[in-house]
Amino acid sequence: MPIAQLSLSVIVSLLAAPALAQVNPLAGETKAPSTAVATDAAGGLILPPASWGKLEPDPALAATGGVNFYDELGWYRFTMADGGTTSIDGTMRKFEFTAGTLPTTCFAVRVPDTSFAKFPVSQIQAEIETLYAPFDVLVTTAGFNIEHRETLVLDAPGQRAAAPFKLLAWDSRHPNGTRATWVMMPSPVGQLTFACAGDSPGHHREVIQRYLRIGSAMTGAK
Amino acid sequence: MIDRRGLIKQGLGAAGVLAAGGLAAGGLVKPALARDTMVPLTGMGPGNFNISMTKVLARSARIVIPSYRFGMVLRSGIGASGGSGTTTTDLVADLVGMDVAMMRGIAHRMFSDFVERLRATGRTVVGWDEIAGAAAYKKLEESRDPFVKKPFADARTIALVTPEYLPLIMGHFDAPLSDKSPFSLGNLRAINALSAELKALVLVPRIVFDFAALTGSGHRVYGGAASVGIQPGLYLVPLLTDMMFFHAKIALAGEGGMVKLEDRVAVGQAGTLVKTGSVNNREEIERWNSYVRSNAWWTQPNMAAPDRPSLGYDYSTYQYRVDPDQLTTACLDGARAAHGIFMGAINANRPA
Repeated sequence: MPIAQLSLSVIVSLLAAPALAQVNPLAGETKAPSTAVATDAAGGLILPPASWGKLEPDPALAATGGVNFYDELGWYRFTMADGGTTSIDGTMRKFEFTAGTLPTTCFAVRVPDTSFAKFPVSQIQAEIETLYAPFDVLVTTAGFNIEHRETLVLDAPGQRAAAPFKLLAWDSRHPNGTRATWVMMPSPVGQLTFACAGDSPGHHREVIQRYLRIGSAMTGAK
Repeated sequence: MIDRRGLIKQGLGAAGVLAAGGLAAGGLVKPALARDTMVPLTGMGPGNFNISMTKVLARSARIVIPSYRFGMVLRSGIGASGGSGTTTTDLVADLVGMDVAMMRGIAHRMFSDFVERLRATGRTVVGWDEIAGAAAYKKLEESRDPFVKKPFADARTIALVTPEYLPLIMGHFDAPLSDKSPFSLGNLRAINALSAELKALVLVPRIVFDFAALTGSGHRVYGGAASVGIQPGLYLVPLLTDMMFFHAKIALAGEGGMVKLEDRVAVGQAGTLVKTGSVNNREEIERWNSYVRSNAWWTQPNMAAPDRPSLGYDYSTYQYRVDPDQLTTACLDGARAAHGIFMGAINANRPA
C-alpha cells in the first residue's frame, strides 16, 4: 500500500500566528439563503467537472472573498472562506489563507491506489479506526511526533444531508515546535492526505471539519 | 452506615474528600450525583432537551440573532455534614488557565459555527447592518460583559461572555443566570419589537460548560459520616444551555419557546485536576484515637490527656488546570453538538 512521502518543509517553517481581530459572521447586509448541496448515494459531494482544477469564487462567501478549490480529479473541494491562494509544491497542493483569525497553511496529496477497491465506502468508514497502525508512518516519516489520534468527522453544513465522513486524524508536533494536524481519507480509488498547520490542533481540526469536503469521485459514484 | 463514633475511631481520613467513587468503593457512603443521568456527548439527542413551542420556529424564514452567550463555571463547591454538623467536609474547585480573551475567542468560533449551520438550513440570517439599524435593537439593554454571577442557592460562579463584536443581551427568561428580575421585561419587549420590525424570528442561544461534577452525602442529623467527591471533566450544564426563540407580529406581545438541555452531558477532559490545599483536624482526631486505644488513661490516671475533639472537619481546595487547546476543542465539540440539536428543531419546523 503506497504511503505518501511528504516533504513538509513549508509546514515545518511555519510558526504559530498571533490571534487577530474577530470578524462577525453576520457583518454586512442580509445574505440570500443558501441552497442545499448535491451529494451522491455514498455521501460524496457532486463537484461539477467543469470546475475541476480551478479556484473559483464562492457565491455564498462573496462578502468575505471566499473561494473554492475543486480538485483536478474531483476528489475533494477545499474552501477558503476569506480568500487565499493555492499552488503546486512537488506532489502536493498547497493552500495559504487566513482561517477565521489565523494565517494557516494546508497541503493535499492524492495517492491513487486500489488496495481498498473491493470494499465499499461504507465498510471502510465503519472500520476506519483499525487503519491507524499502517498509516502512522505517514506522519512519522515527515519528522513529526504523533501526539494524539482521534478520528475526525466532517459534520459541518454542506454534508449533513449525507452520512458524515470519518477521517483518520493525527495531531502532531515537529521537534522544532511546529504543530500540524493530518487527516487521511481511505477510499476505493485511493487515499487523500490533508495536513494543516497554523495554530493549535483545535484550530486545524476546525479548518478541516469546516472547509474540506469529499467529492463523489472518491466515493466511487459518478 | 458508619456513625460519628466509628468515624472518629477510623479517623476522618476515611470520610474526607476523596475522588468520586472512592467512598462508594470503600463501602462507607454511596455518594449521590447531583443528577444521576450523565449523557455522553455522542449519545446526546433531542430526548435530552425540553423542547417547547417549536411551532413558533415556523413563523418566519428570517432569523435574527442579537446575541450569543458562552458561559463557563469558574468556581464550584459542595459541602456535606453529619451528626447535626459535628462532622463537616467541603471542597472548593477553581477553573485555572482561562481568561476573558480566550473565552471570547471560543465564543467567536462557536457563534461562527452557529451562523454557518443556520444558513445551511436554508433560512435567511439577517445581517448585522439590518439588525443594528432597527429601532427596536436600540431598545435592548446590554449587560456588563463579561457577566459573572453566583446564582442564589447555587455553589457555582459562572462567567458569561459574547464574541467581542456582539452585545451581551439577557432577559428575565435567562434566570437564574441573568441580571434581569422576573419583573424586568424591557428586553423581552425589545426582542418582540425587533421581531415585529424585522419580520423575523429572534434566537438567543446560550451554551454553558462546567468543569466538574460534584457529589456529596448531604447534611445529616443522625448519621455521623460526611463525604464529598469531585469528578473532573467538561460538561454541558443542564437548564443553562438553551436556545430561546421569539416571534411577534406586533411590538406589544408575541410568542416564544425554547430548546433547553435537561441532562448533564459529558464532553471530555480539558485539563488536570490538582488538589491545592486541605485544612482538617485529622491529626487531632488521630491523637484522640491513639489515646483511647491505649490503656494510658488507666495506667497513667494523672497524665495530661488530649481533649476529645468535638468536631471533625476537612476543607479542601482544588484547581482544574485547563490546557487551552483541549479546552477550545472540547467547548467547540460541545457547542457543535448542541447546535446540531437546535438546527434539528429549526429544520423540523419550516415555514409553509
